[in-house]
Order: sequence, then structure tokens, then C-alpha cells
Amino acid sequence: MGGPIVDVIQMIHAPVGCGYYTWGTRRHLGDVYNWAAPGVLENEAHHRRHCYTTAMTEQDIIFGGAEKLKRALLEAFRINPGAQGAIIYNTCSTALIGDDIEQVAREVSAEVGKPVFACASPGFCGVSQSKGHHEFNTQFYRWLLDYRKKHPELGLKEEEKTPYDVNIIGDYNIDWDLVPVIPLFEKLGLRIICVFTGNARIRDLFRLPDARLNIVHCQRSATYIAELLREGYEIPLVRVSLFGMAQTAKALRDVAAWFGEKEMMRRAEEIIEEETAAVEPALSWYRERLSGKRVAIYVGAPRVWHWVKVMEELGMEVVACMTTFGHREDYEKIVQRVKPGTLIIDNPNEFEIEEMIETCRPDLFLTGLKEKYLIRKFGVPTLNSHSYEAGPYAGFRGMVNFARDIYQAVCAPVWDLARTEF
Amino acid sequence: MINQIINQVSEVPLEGITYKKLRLGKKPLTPEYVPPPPELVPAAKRAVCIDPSRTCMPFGAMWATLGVHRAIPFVQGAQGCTTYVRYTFSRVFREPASIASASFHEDAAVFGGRKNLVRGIRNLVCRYKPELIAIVTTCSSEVIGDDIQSFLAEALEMMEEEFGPEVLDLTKFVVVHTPSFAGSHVEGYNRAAREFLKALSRQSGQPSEDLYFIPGFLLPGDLRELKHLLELMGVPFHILFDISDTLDCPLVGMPNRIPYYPPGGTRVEEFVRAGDARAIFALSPDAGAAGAKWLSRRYQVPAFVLPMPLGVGHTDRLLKTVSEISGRPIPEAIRWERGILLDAMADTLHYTMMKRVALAGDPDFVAAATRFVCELGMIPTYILVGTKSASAAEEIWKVCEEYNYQPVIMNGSDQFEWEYALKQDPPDLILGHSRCVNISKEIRVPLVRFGFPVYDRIGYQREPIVGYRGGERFLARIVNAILDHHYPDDRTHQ
Repeated sequence: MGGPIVDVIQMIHAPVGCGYYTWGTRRHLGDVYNWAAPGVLENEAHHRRHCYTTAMTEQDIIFGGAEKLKRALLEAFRINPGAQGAIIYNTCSTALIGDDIEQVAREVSAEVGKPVFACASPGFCGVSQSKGHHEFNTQFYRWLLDYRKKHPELGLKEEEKTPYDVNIIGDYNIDWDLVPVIPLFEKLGLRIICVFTGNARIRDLFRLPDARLNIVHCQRSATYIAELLREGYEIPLVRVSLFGMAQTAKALRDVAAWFGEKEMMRRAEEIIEEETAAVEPALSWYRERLSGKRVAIYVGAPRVWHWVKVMEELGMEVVACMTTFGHREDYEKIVQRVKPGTLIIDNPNEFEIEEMIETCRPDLFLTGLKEKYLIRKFGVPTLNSHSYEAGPYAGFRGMVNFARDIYQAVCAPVWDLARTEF
Repeated sequence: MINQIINQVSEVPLEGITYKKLRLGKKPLTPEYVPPPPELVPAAKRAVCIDPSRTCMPFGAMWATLGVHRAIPFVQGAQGCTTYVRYTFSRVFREPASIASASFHEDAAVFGGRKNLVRGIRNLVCRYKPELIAIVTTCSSEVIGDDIQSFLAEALEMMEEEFGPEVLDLTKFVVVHTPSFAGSHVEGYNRAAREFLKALSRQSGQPSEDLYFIPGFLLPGDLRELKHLLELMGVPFHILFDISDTLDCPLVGMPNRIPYYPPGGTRVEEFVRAGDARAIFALSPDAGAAGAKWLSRRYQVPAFVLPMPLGVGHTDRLLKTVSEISGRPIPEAIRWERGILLDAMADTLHYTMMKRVALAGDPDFVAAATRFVCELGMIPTYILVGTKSASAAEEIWKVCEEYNYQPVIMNGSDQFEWEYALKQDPPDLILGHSRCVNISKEIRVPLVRFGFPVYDRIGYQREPIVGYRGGERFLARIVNAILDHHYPDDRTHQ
């Protein structure tokens, strides 16, 4: 959750691996970069140029690592003076030895005059990463309010606010999903003051409570903060899905309807018409080739139900749905969207996936990196649905990329060659 | 920023929004370049580690385990310790890697991981029927102080009661203690090499002529090249932790069932017979030598800890040792391959001689590559040894003394320090891994990828760099990078 924030030091308080693995691997991109050398600022690829970690050693584990963490963070701020703040994450080992990261955060924050948020996120906490999402939401919210109270200048002033200020909650800018999404809302006449947390600046996050409306995309990992904002600041929320034609159109209509302005609703229809016209030729080309193909979806949680309708828009049939960390309401939403008879599995193991492949015979398996190569060995095409093959996939225009990658996966000549008798 | 051209075209083409069209201008965090405070550049003087060139200890133990036939690592820790490692294997090999997790939750953190291990092992044995389970510990289980041996005994007892005594013959167990705060992935592999031999190897009293090899983090292509050389030598051999046919498998012709067990990997039986071996070779002093040395102490099997056979000198050394031990001459076919490598070196010497090169990576790779670049007449400038290693530093000093160079060796440092040196004094070429892409782009110096990890280009795991033929391929990689970046197109014709 904190990773996509672009202008803070992400300090992993842990032995070396925890920082190493989370460094520049997930594709939540940003447009901020450190100067490499005088006049050189050119890397297009990575938003997280550096990985900061305390790289805890045996000595540190025995004698405690809070001192080291404090020194490390102060050094990191000196080395990277452009950082607008920091997030400290603790992990299994540093949580077990009981390092007080909140105290360190307070001390460093006071010393450097920049916000430092301590996120307690040991790996053994909760059933899956879903708990980590939840923790980040609630801890971050509490900290945010506290910090804002001490620094009221961080919020938007009354005269800076507009009636059209909104937040997008729960979009992590995977492969630049925000590129096709943000202009849709801007064309409606809205001003996006913050995205939680894709390509976000920490100062924008302090303005979360100043919006009039929260538009919630990922409804597993970030609904929590939207609900907290509703309770604490009476900011209503609109739940949307920004994948696929019908759902993105509905998102625009719902948001416009919330504002209740005729002009905005008219604009929404205009945008939908314009965007549909822009992508329909490409999509119909793909639809023709994908029609009737069977697809199984296995991703985090919300994308499963976000994508059921998307697959149907491409003429495909969803034959199985699985999630790793879906909660009850995720499954309710999946059930509402799929056809009767669709197989649904919670957190499937490899045997269940195998059985699914045998009984459902999917032509395509939408899944993450770890399963992607396993399922390919069964001769079933797969698509990396966590970080995408080549995104963005969101919004109207991202849909063409999504369709293209599905077409490439399903219709590649290699599958026929693999099936040829030899 | 957001208002991209792609949002303005009236019709999105079939190709969609390509990365070219997505090209985004980056924004700097500070108005202008701010150099780091000089006293904070050396990693040794900092508490913060910036851009480590090493990863966690369990990873190395899991790597070794995945080179064993029908073996599954069982990770005694939280799910992340398994998930991230599996991601890494998927990235590097583009292959599946089955790894089991004890899936620690709060109760395990409070009460210990006994329940997780006992139940997890039972599930794993009855569902996956592995021939071997390597129990790999993690930071959390080591901090809690899990008594793995007693947990395992309990698991076995429970399984015996439930399934009958036959179940005890099904699966062998190896326990590898890998608290990540006590070392990197290199040490994890090293420990695994020792623990596997400790747990499995026996001496039957009938010595064999077999030569044993512990390869370290050599990739499938390297292992195949090593086998090719040993086959030409005509010696009986076994490669322990042989990932060549477990982490590089064909799409068709596989038994595509769950559990997915690739046909390759070192057999448990091969470990058992290691005590009878004629000799054991560790081809990575930091990743595997502990295993070779243990076998030598326990069963008096002669152990040879040699540098990775990369380049002419190191490959010569390996083959000469093998020849001496086995009493078999080096055949003409191998001399021919050596000649081809020398021929390629002679043909490209004007491109390689006096080129300044910076290196980064795991100790065994970097130490061996330093000799190779010296053989090519290149000048090593800044050498980052990602995991602190006395043997690698010694080896690098030795070769640099021989060739009369004075590189800066950053032993166990981080990439931040190394990259800062490169920015001040750019080399002509960088030999490093995928995490060196940023610095390569920033200082506009070509990067030749090798070692661990390479996940951003295709085929590197299959293309050998060891042996003479591997050396020739590695040389081609190096020279082509130089030609691409340092030569105008009209001067590359001869």
C-alpha cells in the first residue's frame, strides 16, 4: 500500500531480503526520479530508484534495532534530501524483537521536520496480505489525522477547495493505469486532489480529508480508508469498477449522478460515447477472435469480480473464479456476476487448480507470476494479471491493451505447435 | 503528465497503448542534483543499507533444494518468505517452483511454529509424496527459537501412527537453519550444501571413481556446459543440486500433473553415495565449499574448492585437477574448444584491451569474472562483492596483482557506494546483474548481464558462461556490448 507513494523514503526495517524482494518488482509506477548526476535525469523505468533497509544483522537482532533504524533513517534523509517524508515498515523479525518503530518515527520526524509514518506489518500478522492492506489503511489514517492536527497548513485551505474535489481511492497505478483513468474524471469537470496511493505525493495524501467525494476502485485493499473518511469527515464514497466498457461507463454515470448536475451527466454521456467510438473498432476486432473462449480468473480478490463482465464484453465465457485473499463480500460480488454453474474456489491449492483445469477446460488462465509458469506447463495460456503483461488495462483505452494481451496469449501459434503430434 | 497523446487520438489502434506512446517525463525530487554527504558514501560508515546486492539466506537453501529430484523446500516462516522467493525463481527462470510454507500467523509468533510444522509436513507428505523435504527456517522461526528437530520427530511419529510405518521410508528430511540476519543467500546455499551431505551421505566401504560437484549458483546452461566437459573427459560424475532439468523444462512431453515434479534434479541416492566419492569439487568457494569440506572431514573424500570455471585460467585449473584426480588425459576435443576461445580472444583483443570495467554481483561470480576480464586485457576498476567474502577478495587481489591492476574492491558493500564511484569515474563497461540497469542507463555505460539475478532479458539462464565454449559466448556478449556503445557503425567491419 505504501510502495506506490513516490516521494518518500520506503524504509524496510528488516534483514536484507525483505527490502530486496520488494524493491522495484511490483509495477506500481510513478513519475518521480532522483537526479543521477548533475543534469542527468533520464531513467524511464523505475520509480523506486533506491531500496532503503536497515539490513539487520545478528548483533542487531540480539541487542535491538531501534537505534540503528533511527540512524539509518536520518542518514537516508541526508542522502536523499528530496524525500518529502518516510514510511517505516517493520517485518517478522523486528516485530518479534519488539523494536519501537513508532517512537523512532516520532523522533526522526521531529528532527527532520518531515512526516514519518511507522507501519507495523510483520509477515505473520493476519491470514494474508489482505491484513497488511487493512493495517496500512487504519494505521495510516490514524497517523494522518494526528499529523494534520499538528500541521493544519497541510490541508487545503477553505479558499483552495472546490465543490468538485474528489479522491481516487485504491488505484496503485499498475503499469500506468492512471493514464487512461484520470482524464475521464477530469473531463467530467472534477479535480482529483489525491490518488490513494498510485503515483501519490505524501503532501497530496494529507489532503485526503478535504475532498467532497471518494471514488473507490480497489474495494478490498482500500475501502477501509474510504469508510474511515466517511465516518470521520462525512465524505461519501462511490464504489466503481474502472475495468471494461460497461463498468467504466457506469462509474462515470454514478459519479455524475452523485453530483446530480445535469451538465455533468450530459458530459458523462458525451465522454462515454466518444471513448466507446475510439476503442470499439479495435475491440470488435479482438472480440471476433476471442468469442466463445473460456477463461478462468485467479487474482487477488476484487479484480476477479471486476473482470467477469470485462471478459464477457470480449465475448468470452468465465468458467471459474478463484481468489487468494477474497473476503465474504468479494465472493458475494463474484456470485452476483457469474453465470450459474461457474466454479468458484477460495484460495485454491495446486491440486484444486489442476482439477479446475480438467473440469473447466479454460482457454485462458488469468493469474499472477507464480502460477503463470506452472499453468503454462499444462499447455494453458496464462496472463500476468497482477502486474500485467503490458498495461495499462484500466479505463476505456486501457481495455484495448487488455484485449490485445488476451488475444496474444490465447491465439499465439505456439499452443497449436505444442499440440501437434511429433 | 497524465494528458497523454493516447487519450486524444480519435481511434485507438489495434496495438493499443504501447510503451513508446506512454513515455512519461520524469520529475526530479529536488530542483537540482544534490551530492550525498561524502562521509555517508561508504556503506561501512552507514547504518542504512541502500540497494543491497544480496538477498536472504533461505533463498539460497531453497535454490539448492530445487536442484534435487522430487524435493520440496518447506519454509518454516510466514507466507512472504515463500511468496517472494517463488517470485524470484519465476522471474529468473520463467519456470514454476513449488515451495511449501508453514504459513506463520500470530499464534505461531506467540506459541511457536510446532503446529504449523507438524501439520504442514503431514500435508506435504501425503499430498505431494516428495522424496525429500528440506525444512528451511527463517528469521521469525529462529527468533522465536523453534526446536525443529523435536517438531520433526513429532510429525514423523504422528504420520507413522496415521499412515503406518512405511510412511517413514517415503521421504527424507534435511533441516537447514537459515536466519537471514546471519548471512545472505550465498551463505544459505553453503549451509544447505553442508546439511544435505550431513543428513544423507554415507560411506559403504566400497570407494567409487565418481567425482562429485557442488556448483553454487550456476545456471542451467552452465551446468549443461559443465556436464559436456566432464563427459568429454570421460569421468563418472555427479552434480549435486543440479537445477538444469528442474528449473528449465520443456513445454511439451512433460508429465503435466500436480504435483509437478520435473524429471531432473540430483537423486537422493547420489547424495547417499557421496561418502564413497573419489573426490568432491566445490565450484563456488562461498556457495558450497562448506559441503565439500564437511565430506572431506567426515569421510576423507578429497575436497577441491576451486573458483568458478569462468575464462581460460579457471577452466584450465578445473580440467587439470579433474585430469590428475581421475588419471584421464584432457582429450583433443576439449583442447579444440580451448583453442576456439583463444582464437576469439585474439580476434577481439582490440575491442577488449585496456577497456575499463566495473563488476558487481555475488562473490563467486565476481571473483571468477575478474580473472576473465583480466585475461581479456580489460582493466577492472570498481568491484562490488555483494556478500562479504574473504575468499573472493583474496582471489581478486591475487589476479589483480598478477596483471598489475589496482581496482577498488567493495567487499560486502551496497550498490549505492559502488554506483557513486561509477558516477565519479565511469568505466567503459559494467559486468553485473539486472539490478545494475539503473546505473548503466544513468551513466550511459553498457551493461553486460551475468550471475544472479538476471530477470530482465531472455535466455541468459540457458546460455553458459563457464567452460571454454561458455567463455566464448560470454566474450561475444562483452564485445558486442562494446561494439554497440563505443564504436561508430562504419568502424565495426573488421
